[in-house]
Amino acid sequence: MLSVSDRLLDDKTIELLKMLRNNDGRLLSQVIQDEKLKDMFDGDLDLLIARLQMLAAFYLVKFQIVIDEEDDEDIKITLTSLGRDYLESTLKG
Amino acid sequence: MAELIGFLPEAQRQLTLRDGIELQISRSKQDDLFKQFSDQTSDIYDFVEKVASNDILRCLFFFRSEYGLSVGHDYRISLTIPILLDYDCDLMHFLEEREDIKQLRNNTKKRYDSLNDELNTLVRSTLFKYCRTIFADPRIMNAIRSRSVERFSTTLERIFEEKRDRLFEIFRIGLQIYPKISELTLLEQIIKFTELAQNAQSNSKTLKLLLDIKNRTHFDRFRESLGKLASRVELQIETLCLHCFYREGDNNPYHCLIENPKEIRLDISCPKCHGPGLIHLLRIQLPFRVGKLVYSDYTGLRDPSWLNEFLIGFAASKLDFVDLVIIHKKLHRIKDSVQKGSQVDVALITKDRKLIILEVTRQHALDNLVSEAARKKKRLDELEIPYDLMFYVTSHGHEISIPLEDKAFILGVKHIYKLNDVINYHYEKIQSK
Repeated sequence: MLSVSDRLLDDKTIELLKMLRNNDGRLLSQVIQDEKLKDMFDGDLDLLIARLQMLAAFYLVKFQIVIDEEDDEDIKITLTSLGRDYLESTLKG
Repeated sequence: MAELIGFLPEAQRQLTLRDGIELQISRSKQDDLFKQFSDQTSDIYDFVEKVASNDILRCLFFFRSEYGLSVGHDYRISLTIPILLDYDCDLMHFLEEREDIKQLRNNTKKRYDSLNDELNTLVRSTLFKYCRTIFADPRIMNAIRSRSVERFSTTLERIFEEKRDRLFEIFRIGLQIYPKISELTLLEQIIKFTELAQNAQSNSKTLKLLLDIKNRTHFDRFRESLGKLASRVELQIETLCLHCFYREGDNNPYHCLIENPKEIRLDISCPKCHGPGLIHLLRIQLPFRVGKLVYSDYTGLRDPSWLNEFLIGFAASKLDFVDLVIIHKKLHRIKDSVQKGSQVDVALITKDRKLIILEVTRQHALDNLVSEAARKKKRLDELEIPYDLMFYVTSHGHEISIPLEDKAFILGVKHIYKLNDVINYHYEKIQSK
């Protein structure tokens, strides 16, 4: 794996990307209640969401609105093919 | 001011409405994201409160615009709103109906594409020639095979010295990209602003419903509101005149970029050609914590923003007959047991225990809005949610509110401007029945 200084994203964001790959199509409501993720970002949900928004800005993940039968909105987060390729090459590198 | 519930600390809360009707509010799936709304001193609460209580700023967030994810420091969200201030200017007619302008638009696009191709070819060929000159030398391949960085650097330096003239010749040809980049950048701006013209014109019509920009007092109010925003967040105003380019044939059209101005200066007509085709692009960098309320859906089917729900909820909390404002929560009727519920964007509980529901969307196309509002109303009726009034608050730019039935209405930006007057009017009507 490449060292942090050689990479675009830091360890926490790579870890987040890995978790999203392992649970593709995860919902935002699940992400913000994930204790492991919360610990990783020291309980700072704003920072966790900002990382997600950054991954979306880089087109590494994409958001899709899903609405349940009680009209409650949620955000489905999926890795793009660019996200998968990036993660794979970073982990290999 | 009424009590605001943006974040519900407990899983649910029960309320009694008029005629002893029992209702349960439950947390939404995203409630943890709204935690800072329980603290009135938090920056997110302060930002939403300030924008919501300014009638012009509140409306701006419903104009035709785009939320963008920006990879800067703090990875913030920005809102981009194009505006044409001269509401008498039919820019779309000028751009789309005149044959000569249509032709010019096509030629501009073609020139942009061809320049782009030229540049790509030039960059590729320069890079290729450079690499071929360096890497065709067997010494460099031997240096790479040795896996010694030091040997590689020394060899590279030696080859560079020996082939200096040839490499400089390659660089000299490569420098031809600079004048092309300047033309490409200009054409890119023209194309971008031309694509924004439709939304700028629509926003101009919507703005006319709220203010008469050609009236000095109204114009000053608009500028002052933007000034208030600029004093709190980063605001960038990029202006370009399409009349300079398309009408005057000026290849150096009026273009201006101002960041975080102390005082907002906006021209209605172009300072250069005096034409009205001046598009202002307002780029509002939202504060860090507000970003979690905005998600751009890649399908483009919805333009979700919980921020708009909070803006409407905060604005309605100023109504003196409202006791409680509930934002983005599920409502369930209690009849013997808790019934199946529905997520509601904003619910107002009045002092006389009536329920007013506001559904909030940034959509503007009436076809979709009417069917969606009817669907939501039907859903609430099926679930026996006992609302006394329902407003579907949208971005439509029409003057009238559209009644679905006697107690349900579709509102547009004009009604968001006078939101509390509109709610008050309908509330008084149901009170007098």
